[in-house]
Amino acid sequence: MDPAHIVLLLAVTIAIVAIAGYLIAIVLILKHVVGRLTTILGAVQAVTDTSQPVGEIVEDINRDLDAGRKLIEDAVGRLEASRVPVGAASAQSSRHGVEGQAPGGPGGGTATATERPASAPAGTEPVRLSTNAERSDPERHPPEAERDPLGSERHPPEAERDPLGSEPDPPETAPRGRGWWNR
Amino acid sequence: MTLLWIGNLLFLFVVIPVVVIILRRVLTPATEIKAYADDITEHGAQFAPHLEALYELDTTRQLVRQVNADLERYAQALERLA
Repeated sequence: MDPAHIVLLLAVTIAIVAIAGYLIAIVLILKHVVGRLTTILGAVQAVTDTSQPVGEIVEDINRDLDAGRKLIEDAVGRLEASRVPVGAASAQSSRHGVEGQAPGGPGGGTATATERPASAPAGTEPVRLSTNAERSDPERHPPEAERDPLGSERHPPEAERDPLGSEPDPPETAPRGRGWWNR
Repeated sequence: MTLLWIGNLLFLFVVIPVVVIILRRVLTPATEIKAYADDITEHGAQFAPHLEALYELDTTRQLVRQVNADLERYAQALERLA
């Protein structure tokens, strides 16, 4: 066989192998790209399916919120129209209550206080009683049993609270709150 | 015989280089397309996890309806106060 033919055959073989390598590389890249595009297409389709009914739901939510806002605005408007402001009435009444009272007069300036009777025992200090509003409000001033459910655990005796052992205060001779005004 | 050799030389030194050049010009954009496809997949496939919260919109709608019902009761109570 002619050596020129052999050289030519080798050169053509190498060229064909190179061309085949290029073609195989292109095919592999295109296959990879097609796989990626399939994944992207699936993701886009999932997003489309997910977000399709969102517009209707958001419109529904907005409609409900708008209806609630109008409801509250109308109710507050009617309430404001039917009610007198509380601050004006209370300021007026308190001003009248203080007016006309002597500074050192009996009762300490309240309109309902009475003078201390002459038969009251000496040495008993008048204790300020709670007003009717405070007494009638069970939430602000609950009964003693409700206010202190733990009893003596929350307020231990004086001997337990004082680790140094100082002597406790002497007991009161007259119980507080049992004066002439409570009889 | 001479024409056969001329044809072989043309095939070896003209046709094959032209085919290789064309294949290289195809391969370069294909490689770029592969990189872009990888990038799009990496970032574009994240849409679905980010949109999972959209399923909660139905719960939001139900809760808003309940709040509306309570608001209506509240408004009626205000009417009774007035």
